[in-house]
Amino acid sequence: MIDLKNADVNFKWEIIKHEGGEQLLKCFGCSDCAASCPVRYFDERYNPRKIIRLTLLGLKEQVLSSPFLWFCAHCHACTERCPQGIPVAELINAIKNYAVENGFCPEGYKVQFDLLKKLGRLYEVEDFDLKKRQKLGLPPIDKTIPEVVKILEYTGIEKVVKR
Amino acid sequence: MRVLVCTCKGKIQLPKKDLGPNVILEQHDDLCKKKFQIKPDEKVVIAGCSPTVMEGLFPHATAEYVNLHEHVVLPGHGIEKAWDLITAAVAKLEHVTPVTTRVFPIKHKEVIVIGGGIAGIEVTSQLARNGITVTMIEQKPFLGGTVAQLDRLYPEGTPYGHTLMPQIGNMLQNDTSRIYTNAEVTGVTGTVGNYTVSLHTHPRGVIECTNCGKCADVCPVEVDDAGKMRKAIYYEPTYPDIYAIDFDTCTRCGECVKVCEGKISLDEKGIDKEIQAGAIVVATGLAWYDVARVEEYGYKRLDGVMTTLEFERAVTSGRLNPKKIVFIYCAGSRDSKHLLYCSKICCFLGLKEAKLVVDRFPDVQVYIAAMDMRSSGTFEYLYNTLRERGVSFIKGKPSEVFQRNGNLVVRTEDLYTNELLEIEADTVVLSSGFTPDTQTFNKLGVRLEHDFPILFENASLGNMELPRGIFTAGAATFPAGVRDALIDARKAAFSVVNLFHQDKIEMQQPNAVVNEDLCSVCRMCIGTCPYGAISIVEDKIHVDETLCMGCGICAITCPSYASQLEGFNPAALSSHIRALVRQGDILALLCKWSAYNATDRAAYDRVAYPQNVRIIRVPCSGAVDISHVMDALQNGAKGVLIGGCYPNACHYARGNFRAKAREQILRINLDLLGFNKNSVRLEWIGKDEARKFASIVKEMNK
Repeated sequence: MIDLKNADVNFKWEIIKHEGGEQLLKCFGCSDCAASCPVRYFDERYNPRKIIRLTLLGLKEQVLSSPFLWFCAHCHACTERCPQGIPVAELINAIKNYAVENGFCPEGYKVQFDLLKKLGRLYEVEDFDLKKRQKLGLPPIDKTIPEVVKILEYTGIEKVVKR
Repeated sequence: MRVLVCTCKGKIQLPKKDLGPNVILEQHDDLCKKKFQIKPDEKVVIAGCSPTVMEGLFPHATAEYVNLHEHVVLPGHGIEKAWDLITAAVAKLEHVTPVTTRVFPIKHKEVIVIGGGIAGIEVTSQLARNGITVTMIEQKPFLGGTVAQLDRLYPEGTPYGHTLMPQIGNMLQNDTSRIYTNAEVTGVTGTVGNYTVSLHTHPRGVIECTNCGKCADVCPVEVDDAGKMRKAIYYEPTYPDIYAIDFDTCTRCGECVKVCEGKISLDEKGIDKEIQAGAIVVATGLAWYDVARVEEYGYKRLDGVMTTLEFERAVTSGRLNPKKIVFIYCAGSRDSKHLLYCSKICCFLGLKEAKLVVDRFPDVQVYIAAMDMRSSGTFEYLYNTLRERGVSFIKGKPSEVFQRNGNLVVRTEDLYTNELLEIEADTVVLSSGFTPDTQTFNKLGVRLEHDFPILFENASLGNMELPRGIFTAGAATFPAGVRDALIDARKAAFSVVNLFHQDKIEMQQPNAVVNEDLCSVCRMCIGTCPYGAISIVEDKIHVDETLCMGCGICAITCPSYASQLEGFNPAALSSHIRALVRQGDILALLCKWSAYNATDRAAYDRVAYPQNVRIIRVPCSGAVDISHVMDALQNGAKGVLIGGCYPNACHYARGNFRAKAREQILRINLDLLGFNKNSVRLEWIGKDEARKFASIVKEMNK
């Protein structure tokens, strides 16, 4: 059962301030987004309508800690069909941004960030890989890309992710 | 200039001071009980009771009303306030152009009804009963409109003929009406009482007819007329009793001419005609929204996807024998990409179709996918009946329709169970919304908003009459069922009868006038006019006298002060403000339809507000410019309150939204010029919200 005692009435107003989340309050719950969603077709636990409804009700903890928030594949099928003209994929993005800002970053993203920061790559290149490339006649690649590391530093993303 | 002051039973005794040259001050006991001879173009200040009362007693257009009773006597404010109010009113009137009286004679007491559907037929028979000559113009070869296309009417499922045929019979009983079928309005000129409508009658092909039907038997052309098959020469059992040729599909093979017992001509020419009338009734009915634009539902792309009308006609003519049907509601309605509004009748129509199909085919499986079922009123019974008959209702808007193994599949989410759902069916019916016939309204110069005639949706305008000689009836006003269309038709007929009781209309209402020497034809007024009264004629700005309602918004918008409202203009308002506002005052510019009445109410309810609140009555909150606020602030005003009607309740349709838009610019400008940008407030104050008004001005006075 949804317990509105712990609901945060300001949650929706905070989402509206985020880029992409401005049109949140237009939702009238027709479920066109949920019926259009190709991700939902494979895993019914992901439901964009439910995320929007819970956001509107102010169930902050439940929305932000849910792993399903991160399932969106950004295909924009929902944005295309929403009768109220809400850019639903952008809206989900806004909620994701809000989640990270408030320390709800999933572990997977943190690991990816650590790799990027260390190597400038999402995938660690080892001697084994280089040998294999040599065998196939491919040129060797750098183990680290320092430019990417530098860009990451400049964006200040560390402060946000490590919160 | 005369200043008529009521002493209010001795409570107002003005000092014997001079008001300026050419101003005569007259003090009377019981002003309201006296009669005065006032010349039409004379400027008068009438100081007494509230203008709402005095306007009725002294209906003089170029008058400035000073509210001594409600603003001085009842609140117990000092006599010096009365003197200030009167001097300011005199200062204002000096800059005002007098209001001219406009007379529109009703030359032709005849009516043109555009549209021969159920509403047009009802208007015609009601007017004919009152002895008024009516000319009906119908676009199609047969009367009946949308009703004649249907088979059954909701909610009881009455055959359409039971309703339509008696109406036609009633209309034909009176021989004062002329009916033009196959005719089209090509242009309209003139004003109320004197319209000239030019129309073009398309050839019918059949000149004399015995109704034997041999022509339709031999005709080789089969036409799909919205789900029903017919020949290119055809007959519909309404009126007139003559066959007609559909020249869009006719191949002119000449087979029908050979067998005809009467007379058929394939090269008949159309006729142009001009008709004069005093009033026009628009009963053009509804148009079905083109659901092919809702691409995901596959109308015209997939076989078996059809509209409600096609479905009804196909089922009742025996062409379609469905096994499993899905109705998709709100196809293209309440959608930001299509129709923004709810068409009100499509839910009922869909329920009727479902009833029709379960009655005919007991084994059929029916699903209705609707995001909201709006079965208002007694239609709830129909909704209940259908559930009991085994129709499944699914809540949720389907996302798409596609084909799989030769079947149609509707993909949706069932909101009751929160699960995805795919329904395989052989027929998908799209319940689309409706739009009015915008073409006719455009020809008549009626301004539309959200596709509908603008005055319709605004409840505060009450009478729902379009500019003074044009009336709407039936579904042209808003999508309506037969019952509502008939009620609306009677309303239109009554309005026409009311109009024709007079021989002329005299209007003493202020109109916008344009000074051509100052006008640079920048066209800003054209966009801002809520009524579409302003247009360009021969490279000059032209104000249509019958359309102008006197809101003054154009006068405020005009950057070169060329457009002025009679009895009110920016310069006059400026001098009024400069004469009235002193150091430390609060200026309240209040809309005469709502916020101003709240101050009257404050006096009756003894709601106190400070004496330094200076109240000025303006035609509309949209008729206040940035410069007027500046005037007040320069004179040392503490704050300026602009009071208007609530959103969507503006007497001039959109005036308060113009005020709201201007408020933003105003704040920026005030900030730039070094004024406190929060010293201006725009508030919505209703007619009786005295306490709200008082609390706002008290807050501003702190």
